[in-house]
Amino acid sequence: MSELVRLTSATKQFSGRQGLSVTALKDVTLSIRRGEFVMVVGPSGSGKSTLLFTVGGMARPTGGTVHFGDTDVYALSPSRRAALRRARLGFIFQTFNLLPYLSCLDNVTVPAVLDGQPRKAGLARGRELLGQIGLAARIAHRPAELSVGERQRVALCRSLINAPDLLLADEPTGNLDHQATLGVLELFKAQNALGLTILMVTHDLNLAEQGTRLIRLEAGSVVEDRPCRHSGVSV
Amino acid sequence: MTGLRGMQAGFWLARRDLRGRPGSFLAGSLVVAVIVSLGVAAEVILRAKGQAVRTEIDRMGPALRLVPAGNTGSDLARFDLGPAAFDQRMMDDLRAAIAPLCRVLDGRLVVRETIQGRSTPVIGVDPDGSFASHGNFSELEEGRVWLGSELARTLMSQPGEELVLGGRAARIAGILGETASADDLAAFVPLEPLQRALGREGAVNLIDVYPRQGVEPAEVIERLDPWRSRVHVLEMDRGRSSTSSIARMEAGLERHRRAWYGVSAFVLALCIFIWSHLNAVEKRIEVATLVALGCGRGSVLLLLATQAAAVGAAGTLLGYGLGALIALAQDHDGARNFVFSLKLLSAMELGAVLACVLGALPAGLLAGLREHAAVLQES
Repeated sequence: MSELVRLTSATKQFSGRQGLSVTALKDVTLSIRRGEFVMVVGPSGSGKSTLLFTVGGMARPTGGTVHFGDTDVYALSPSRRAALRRARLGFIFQTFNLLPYLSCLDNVTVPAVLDGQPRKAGLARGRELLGQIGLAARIAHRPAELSVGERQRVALCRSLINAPDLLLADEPTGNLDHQATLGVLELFKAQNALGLTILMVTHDLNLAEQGTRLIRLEAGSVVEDRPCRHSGVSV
Repeated sequence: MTGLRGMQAGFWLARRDLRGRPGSFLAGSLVVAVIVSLGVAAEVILRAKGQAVRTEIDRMGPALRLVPAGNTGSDLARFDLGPAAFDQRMMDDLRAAIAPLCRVLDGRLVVRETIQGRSTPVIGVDPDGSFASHGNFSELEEGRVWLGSELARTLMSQPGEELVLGGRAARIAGILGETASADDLAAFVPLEPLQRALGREGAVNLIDVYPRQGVEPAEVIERLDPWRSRVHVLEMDRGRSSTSSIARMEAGLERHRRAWYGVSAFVLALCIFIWSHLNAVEKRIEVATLVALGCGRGSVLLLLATQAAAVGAAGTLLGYGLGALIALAQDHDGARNFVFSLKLLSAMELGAVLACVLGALPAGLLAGLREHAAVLQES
């Protein structure tokens, strides 16, 4: 499998009040290959989300580099980084972050609109994705009219509409009940089986073993990097 | 995201946001409406009062009077202008040359006719267009005549009586108030019937000129230069003194007006900046999500600017209506001539939208520069 993401000595420090700084990532070096389903675990404040946003081109590291394929992500201009996110990355959040004033279908098509794709094609793709996850009847509904599980599935469709290379998921099941969690995980696995690379942050250690690779962070450093027990896939 | 793509995305999001959350849109529009309504009311009242002042000045007489060359001011004072006249074609040429500088060009035919056996000045006037110290001529139609106060005294005539004017019967429509001018000695009849009766269709031998606001009589005189051989220009006392002092007063008012609009635009921009900033802070998670999905800073800026422009446009429409009502309530008769002005509405729309967009730009820049990853982590 070819390398998709490479972090080299990535460090991220936040300057706090009174000159105190907090190190969220400390000299992290790792690579993610195409087709991997990487689970990132660790206690609160260990730098999991920071890692995710650093890979996603949204949090410039204070040291080190982040490469997406051959591209040095933070050597790009902000607009080119935005274009990279639009075309090659998909984001999913714990709180879904659907736009409340848009219908399900419009929410799903937002990345396509941002990418300047023809509206008809975006709508057709959005309908197709929503149909695949059983939400065809809900396309005109607003997020507030959906269950949390449905919202997260809509968010998943949104992240997939531009056919990204990498899906970044920040605790996507954190707000879901057990049943909805399993449903979302199955969708992730199905996408991964189709070749989508996934980097997912989770608190749930059982869930974390459902990926292909597990990375544990503590105090901003990688302290464990191994294949998941249930995956049967070597890394 | 750059250029057209960013603009389209910004407009798409703004349109749906405004449609999906009308409350915020309405609140912003109301703020704009209140400020715009004050501006509209002030402007309309100013125009109405300005018009009232100019009308009062016009009652004193025209700034310029044009008579056929060969006549003098003394001839006019004696109502003895002779046979020369301006024909319709000449009137059209003069109108084309000076109409842009003038509010009114009032063509009259001044002749001498016999009334009750006396040679009397008779002035043919346009009943709808003529200005006079005693107001416009109402009820002046064919077969009717208004008499100057001195003439009525001499003839011992009363309104409603009939008299013989140039061999034709005419009923006295009314007697004009005393003006201490030559008008007191004259009779006033409708222009067209007089022209027909004398076989001088389309002819006038006196043109009263009322320049537009801010136009000096000298500018009009300069435009009349090519007709110097055919037109004698009489600059009236009012033209030399009142007009220039009014022009100075209006220039002063114009400075106050500009200052008022400058302050209003600043206040409007400040209000919209606060509205946009609060809007952006309230929606910071949405903005951060859009950035994560690939929205560029330009689109964030455009999103907020478009919303502000829409708020400005809608608020101005609402504010214009409110301002018009305020103006009408304060000065109904004066204001009604100015409230339905497409030009004023367009200017207000343009100014308010511009101020709103300028006000939204700093908020949009701040929103675009925010640490979006931190916002998403906090959420």
